[in-house]
Amino acid sequence: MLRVEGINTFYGAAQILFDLSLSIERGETVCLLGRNGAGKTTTLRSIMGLTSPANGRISFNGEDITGKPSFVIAQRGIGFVPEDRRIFPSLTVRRNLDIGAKKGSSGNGLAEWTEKIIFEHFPQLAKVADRVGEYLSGGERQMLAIARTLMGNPELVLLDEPTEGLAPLMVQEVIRIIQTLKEKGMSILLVEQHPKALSIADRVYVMSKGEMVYEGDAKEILDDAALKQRLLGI
Amino acid sequence: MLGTLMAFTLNGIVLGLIYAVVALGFTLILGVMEVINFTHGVLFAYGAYLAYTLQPFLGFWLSMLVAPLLVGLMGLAIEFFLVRRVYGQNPLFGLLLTFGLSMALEEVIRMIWGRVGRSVTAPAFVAGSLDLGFMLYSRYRLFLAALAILVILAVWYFLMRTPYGAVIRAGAFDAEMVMALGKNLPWMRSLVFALGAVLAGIAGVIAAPIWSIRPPMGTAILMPSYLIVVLGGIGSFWGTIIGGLIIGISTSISVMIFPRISDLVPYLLMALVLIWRPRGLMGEKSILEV
Repeated sequence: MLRVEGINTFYGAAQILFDLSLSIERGETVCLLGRNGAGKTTTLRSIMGLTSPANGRISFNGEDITGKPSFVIAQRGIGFVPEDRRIFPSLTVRRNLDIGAKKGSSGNGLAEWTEKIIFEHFPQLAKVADRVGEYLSGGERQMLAIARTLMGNPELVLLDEPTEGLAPLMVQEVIRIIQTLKEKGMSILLVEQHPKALSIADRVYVMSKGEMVYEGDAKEILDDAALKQRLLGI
Repeated sequence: MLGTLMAFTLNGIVLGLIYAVVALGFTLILGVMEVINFTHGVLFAYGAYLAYTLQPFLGFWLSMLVAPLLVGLMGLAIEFFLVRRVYGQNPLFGLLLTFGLSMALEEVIRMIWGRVGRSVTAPAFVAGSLDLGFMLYSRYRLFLAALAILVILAVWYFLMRTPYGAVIRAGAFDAEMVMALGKNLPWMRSLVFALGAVLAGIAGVIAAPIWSIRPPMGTAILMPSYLIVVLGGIGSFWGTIIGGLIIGISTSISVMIFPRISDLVPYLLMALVLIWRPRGLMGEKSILEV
């Protein structure tokens, strides 16, 4: 479904990604791991067209999307939930959802997300539907960031550290939602270090200093303490 | 004396409402695209000139609709072919580009309509004066004030109560995120620029019967608009309206009391407000910053 082939991405003169490749199949949940500064966020930004790679190729459902503007990439069916959430603080929860909304299911048997369905899956958000973003808790903001992206009915979601900075209960809630998305058949690229998130993943990529250093089964890395220590330092 | 003061205050409110409509377009473009659009004044002039040209053929109402739309199309073309190239660049580029363009467009006015002033007559149904009980006042000016208020409320409703307005406000706050959510931001920016131009055009059309139409009228309204935006707080909707009224009323009353410094008054007011509140009257939290 998504193929990233040998991309090199720069911020100004500094090269962040080196000949990076990865792929995600339909319905797969893939976890992207690595220490801080390894280039995980830049990888997601490159896929999303927010920081276009200087060379290499990114294709989605067979279509070359390298260098396309991010709104085109989003319209093709890739959703992005940034690490810092970036909800719109003076708009209500409903309006935030409206901004993410794109009518019509992305096809491929995935059910269409509507405000009603969102509120069923995110009961917490339903309670604060008319509150402006500014007054939401950290957990609610994260829920809203995910929900807003789902309103665009993506086939693939890129989630950047969704549990970062959340209280343990909220972490559980976010993981439950990712699990639900997986069960619904959505393809997921997840940047996340939380062990629970790893257990949801089908496959794992590990990055170091802008390069891909490992690709394998999620279970393998979970079970092999030495491997985990070597790749992630945990 | 009191009667004169009332008349000048009313004139000031009417003037302020025209200013507010112009400044609203100006602040919208500044807030969303971060471009100081110096063509805004000349677009106001085009509104007035187009109304002058179209009214004999289309009548008052239809030309009031068509002239701003034509100005909106001009705005769309200016944004699409020129201004969009300077987004995200040094703000000076946008300033120089639109400044040069506004001078060129003003020359085009001279080429088409000549150097001499023109006048537009107010429609018959609002000719003459109305007895307000305490004074007689021009019906057209009252009509103009009502129209300006309607336009202001319509823009408020569009920005604050419609999903499209929400996208514009979100785009002013975080353009990258709005794009990543699949919204066609380049198109949205063109639309905002056109909307700003339409507002300048509307103000030009409705102001035409009370001002003589001259080629430099655009330059003349640009500076007050800029002052209003800074005074009210950049990007603030109600700040712009209040700023417009303050500048309108103070200019009008100073013309009555001390005409020789009336041109200076808006600048003094702006300086005072900025010393007190550097972000302008209502610049603390603008509607364009979400």
